[in-house]
Amino acid sequence: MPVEKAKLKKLLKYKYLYLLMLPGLVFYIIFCYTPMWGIVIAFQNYSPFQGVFKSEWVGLEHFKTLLTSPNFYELLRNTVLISSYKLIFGFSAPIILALLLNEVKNKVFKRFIQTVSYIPNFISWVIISGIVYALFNKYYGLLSTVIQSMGLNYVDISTDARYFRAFLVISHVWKTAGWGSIIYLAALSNIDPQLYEAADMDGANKWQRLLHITLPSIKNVIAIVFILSIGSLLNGDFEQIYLFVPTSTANNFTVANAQLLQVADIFETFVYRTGILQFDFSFPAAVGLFQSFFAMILILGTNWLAKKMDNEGIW
Amino acid sequence: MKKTLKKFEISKVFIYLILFIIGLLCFLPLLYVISVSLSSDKALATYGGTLIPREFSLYAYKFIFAKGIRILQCFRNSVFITSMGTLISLIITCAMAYPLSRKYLPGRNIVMKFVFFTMLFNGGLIPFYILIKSIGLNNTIWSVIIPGALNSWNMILIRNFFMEIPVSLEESALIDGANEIVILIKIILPVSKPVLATIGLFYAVAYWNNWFGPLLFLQDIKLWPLMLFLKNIIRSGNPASEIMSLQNQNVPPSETIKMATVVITTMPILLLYPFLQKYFIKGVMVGSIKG
Repeated sequence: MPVEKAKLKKLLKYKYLYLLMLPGLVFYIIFCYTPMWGIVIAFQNYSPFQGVFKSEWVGLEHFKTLLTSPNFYELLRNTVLISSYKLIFGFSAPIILALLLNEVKNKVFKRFIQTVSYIPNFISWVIISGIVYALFNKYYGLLSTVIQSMGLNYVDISTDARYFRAFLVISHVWKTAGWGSIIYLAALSNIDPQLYEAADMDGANKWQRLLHITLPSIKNVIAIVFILSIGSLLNGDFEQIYLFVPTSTANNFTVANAQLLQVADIFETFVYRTGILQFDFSFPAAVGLFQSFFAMILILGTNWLAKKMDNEGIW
Repeated sequence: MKKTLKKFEISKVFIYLILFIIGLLCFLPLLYVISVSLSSDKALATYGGTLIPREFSLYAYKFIFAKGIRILQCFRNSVFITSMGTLISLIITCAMAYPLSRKYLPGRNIVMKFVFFTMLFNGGLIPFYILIKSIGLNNTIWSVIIPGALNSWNMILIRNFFMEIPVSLEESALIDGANEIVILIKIILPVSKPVLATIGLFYAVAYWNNWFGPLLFLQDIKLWPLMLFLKNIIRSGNPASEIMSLQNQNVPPSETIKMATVVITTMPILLLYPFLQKYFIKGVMVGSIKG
């Protein structure tokens, strides 16, 4: 009895703090945890009219359909390929940018380049799709004008299925490299200059400095960012792909460009098209659940692996 | 000595050159869009696009301000969503971050795990969609403000900042008999201006750029934010008639109008950016290292 009374007294002591947390907790419960229960829809043939409790239960049927559908391997291939390319280039670009900026002694120039490179991060994909259209289109695009004036054949990579994935990666790097370099620059600025002095006295050249001092010093930051990036391997950038795959409307039926879909459709765009636009709820819910679940496994697995290799994990 | 000096200089020049090109690549696309929007349609059709308009013309902007009533309405919607959303978000995020920054709070770890799990796993688009519709937010402006109000990353950044504030400030106020809510408002927040500016900017940009939520939940075009409207006219072959048909009028087509709308949509962020930039670089660096 006294123990419980003491505990209660302690809780009451901090009542204002708990009160402050209340709106946030309610928010998480409503908007994050409640939809998690919505997962049951993936195991039903959900109908909005019957609701969750009355819809027919079908167990793993949707998952079976998913795994045997020709769509699945296309979605998986696209998702993994695009994410992998983005990982390779999108992960290394901020590091390279940070290393380059770190070598600059002129503070004004450094600040200027940093400032300019952060801007694309704040620009939405809608704006970027407008910019891309202005630059790349065959009719008045700057790239088109310049390349054709050099006598070369112009290919619009933003609408050509052969180069579309490359285009997605390029635009992704453009948008994120600057912002991503912040955390590396912060880590680089924390490196003890005495390490460099010692290396200079031992006659180390630029590359040796890089390999033996600079990179090892930011090893932990690289590992953490890498873990977070791998975790999103199964996700894609829904907005980017949705906006760059043009749709055409004929007879009130909206169709996305089939060739581009073939190379770039990912789980999330598929879920949106079939779920929201075609009012099929349960199958896309199963696809979404599949994706969320394995993304979580990936991030937990990578964190465990990183810890095993003697780095600090995220937790 | 002279030989190593020369070698040293060449690599420096190389680095500066590459960085300069990178800077141009980030900057020129925006310049180009502005240029197209300030060009006349005739020049565009004849010469194609150029970095500086061949024939300067304010036609696109005149059109928008004279006949583009819908655009201006969308702009107002965006301003409302962004300002209301950022205000609500900052309040609820700070209110959550402050208690979690007090190490002595019982249950702090449980709540942190509770929050953290939501960053790992979510129910997916479909259940979220069904939820918003069933709580009656569909087709209201609040459907794009409330569900995005609390961002866990931002909350953690603010929490980390609060943790760095010297406990002595809090202690002297507690002795004077103030409760924690008063402490938060009168002591902690005034000291937290850099992180509030940073996170405020993050939220504002997210609200301003958000078009997918509105696409899902705002059927009434009178509620549309600018970003959603812009999305529709970019993807159409015929921006002016799209604008007009969304307004029920007839008008000839124009590419410059598309770009002018892009400029109008990006301007607020680009204008706000320099003012808040000094705050957020510091804020992000502190937050991300600790985080």
